[in-house]
Amino acid sequence: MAQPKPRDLFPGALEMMVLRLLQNERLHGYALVQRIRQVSNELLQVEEGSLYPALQRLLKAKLLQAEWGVSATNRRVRIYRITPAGRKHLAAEVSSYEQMLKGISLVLTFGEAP
Amino acid sequence: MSSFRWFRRSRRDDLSDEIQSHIDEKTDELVARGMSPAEAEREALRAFGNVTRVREAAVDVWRFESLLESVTTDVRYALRGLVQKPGFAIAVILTLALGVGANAVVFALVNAVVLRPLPYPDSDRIISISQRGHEGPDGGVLNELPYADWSQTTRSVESQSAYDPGQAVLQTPRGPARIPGVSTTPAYFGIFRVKPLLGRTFDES
Repeated sequence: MAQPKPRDLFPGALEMMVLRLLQNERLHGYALVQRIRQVSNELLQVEEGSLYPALQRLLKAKLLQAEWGVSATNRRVRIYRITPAGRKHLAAEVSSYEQMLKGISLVLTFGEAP
Repeated sequence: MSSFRWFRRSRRDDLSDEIQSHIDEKTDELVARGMSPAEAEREALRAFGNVTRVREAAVDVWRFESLLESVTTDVRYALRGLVQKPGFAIAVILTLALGVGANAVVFALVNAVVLRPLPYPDSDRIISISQRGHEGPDGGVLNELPYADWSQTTRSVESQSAYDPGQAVLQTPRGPARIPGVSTTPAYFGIFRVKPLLGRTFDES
């Protein structure tokens, strides 16, 4: 069976997912990549490198905080945690994303039997 | 030498460490799944993408702010230096003050003499003519005969006038006063379009 060609995420999608995952737990970079893969049933394979500029953008916007810690595999890693501003931002992003998704699906199902 | 550079390098170092941990963890995981260590590392690097590009992109996220910070740290460094070496600071400030002052004076002169037009209407049409001897211009003197000849024959100017600056001393109740003046021909007033405060100017008669 032909594997469909993976497509790029839209801008901001990765940030949104990172914030959502950090809402439940504190994670470091590699753990975030693993979580995205697991939680999405392996439908999403983020390009692992692209995570780091995204994390820096979120840090700069003060939506995240980071501190050095030790991973489960005993490595020195930077562990990220969402800030109150990050939670607020996430809520706004999710609602605007849902609007967009609704709009797109309405257009894509235009004229089909209800 | 500025703390700016140190700051950037430290952020870059942090990211290098973080990325290295990421790749190590991925390698471990792949080895645990049965890959050979060399193969696992290759695969981990492939999945990560271009390490240098990722790291620079992540550092660049902060660039504008860092620039701002670098300016403030540089200014603070400069001020600290000035406070620590007051002799040097005074020398620099004096040099700058003298330089700026001299420039201002020279500009004021050049502006008044060369750049600013004369305060008369159509001042770009007023010319001054003087006699030139072997030793250069001799202070503007045309004696009477050449002036009469010249004013008869020239057609290059609309109007002309000769003048001779001088001064007189007026004895007043409060002591003598020096009155600067000029003796001139009647057209003088028309050329500069000046009117006396009182009375009238003299004419050809």
